[in-house]
Amino acid sequence: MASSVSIGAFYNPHLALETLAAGDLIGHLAMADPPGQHDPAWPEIRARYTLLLHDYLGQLSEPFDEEELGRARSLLDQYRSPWAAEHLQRIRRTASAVGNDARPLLDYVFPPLYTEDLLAEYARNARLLRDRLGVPLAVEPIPTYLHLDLPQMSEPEFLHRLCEQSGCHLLLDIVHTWLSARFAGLDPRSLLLQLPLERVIEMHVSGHAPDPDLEEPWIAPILPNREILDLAELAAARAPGLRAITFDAFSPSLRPETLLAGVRMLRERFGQGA
Amino acid sequence: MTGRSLHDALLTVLSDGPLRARLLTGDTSARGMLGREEWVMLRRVSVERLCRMARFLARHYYRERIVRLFRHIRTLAPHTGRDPLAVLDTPAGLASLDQSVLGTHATAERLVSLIEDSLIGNDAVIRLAIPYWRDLVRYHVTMFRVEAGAPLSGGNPGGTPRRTPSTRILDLDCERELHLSRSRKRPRPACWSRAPATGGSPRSAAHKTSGCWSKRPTVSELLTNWLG
Repeated sequence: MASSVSIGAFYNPHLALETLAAGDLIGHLAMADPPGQHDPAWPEIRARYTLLLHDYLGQLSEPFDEEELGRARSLLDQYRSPWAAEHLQRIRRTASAVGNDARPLLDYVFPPLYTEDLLAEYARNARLLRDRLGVPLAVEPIPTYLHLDLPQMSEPEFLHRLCEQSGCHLLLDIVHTWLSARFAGLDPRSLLLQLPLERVIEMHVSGHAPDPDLEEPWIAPILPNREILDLAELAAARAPGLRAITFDAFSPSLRPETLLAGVRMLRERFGQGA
Repeated sequence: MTGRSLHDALLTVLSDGPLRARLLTGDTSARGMLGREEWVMLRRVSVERLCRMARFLARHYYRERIVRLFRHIRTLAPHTGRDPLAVLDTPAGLASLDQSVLGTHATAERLVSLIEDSLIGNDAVIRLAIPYWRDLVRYHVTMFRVEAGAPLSGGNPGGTPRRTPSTRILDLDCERELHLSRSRKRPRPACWSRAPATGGSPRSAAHKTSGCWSKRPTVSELLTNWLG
């Protein structure tokens, strides 16, 4: 893998001091939330790191208004982010169908259906957003736990067509892919290799843990196991456009030792150990 | 039926416990709300997985709010042994999650009542150690009531705060004591600690609610102002 690939983490404001003290260990920081108004570490964080805009607008299936686009543009400028990423999710209903209520109904990632009509809308809005932001846009697919008995595309087909029609890149979350494969009864390596890996610009790697509600594993802010690291390595080897690998742990309960161990683990696996 | 209309119906079912129960029992009155074809399609979804996903999403929704809106109480949890998050794993908390309608005042009220009971029940020992405990609980409970329900229209985005249906008036014993001590130029009362800050930045840029402490001496008026 090219050594030009940056290895970094999410910015966890409660770990700002440990992040800054880690020196060159962390190459970039993905920003899940805008900086807090009273975050004393923010000026130094901003000055020192490459910052990546992550999931600010929330739902590409709906058109954006000028205010939303302006806010995204402003944040992008503040971060000087080389690309923007959005979850490929759908967490709010069609506003016009529910009294023009545009609020998110859910407060967590949830995938869309992979249908033709939604593909067309995701592609149109993603294209518009990318053009307005003036930087590459990457979409991050979300695992589908709940399958509907509906004729629809597979996740790989949807992603291929979305990237092709919109010119977008892919933010490949390795645990998401592992979970998608598990929930669909597929081999994770096989599913991974069907994805448009040539479009991958950023990769997320973290761990997974049993979820008591789902009674299945789910994403967790812990260290990845060997299977996840192997999958990440497989993806990276087939992703010529890959520019960043992010330890995907963002939680108020995240411990500094986990954050730093996760980044070190990725550095060692991807040949950038000390 | 389109992918969009079906997904809208799926989101509705996942976020609305009573509606989900009607769907799963075959109550056809739910068809009107979801669309006839959508209703048929959703009837074919695995009941177990639908309910599991709904509980998972409800837990995320309220967990995030409890963590943010009860943060000072949670900081004290190692000393008090009372963590409001634990309520979500009690039988009553799980039932509330399963029956929740995400973002509504009714669900927020049901959950916060459980939380409040768990925090102030048999709390004499805690109050001895932390004299402002009840005030702190009332403060957080109020913030949760204000924010965990759906923001109501009637706010004044960008303008002067004004009362909305989700406004709550909070009169804190500790604050009154502070005012008296100030007026008499006495030292701060023992119960005084820094006024808890407001809830912090919401994760969703589209969902912002503000709260503020009144400068008036004996009453803290928490104003919520829907900012759009």
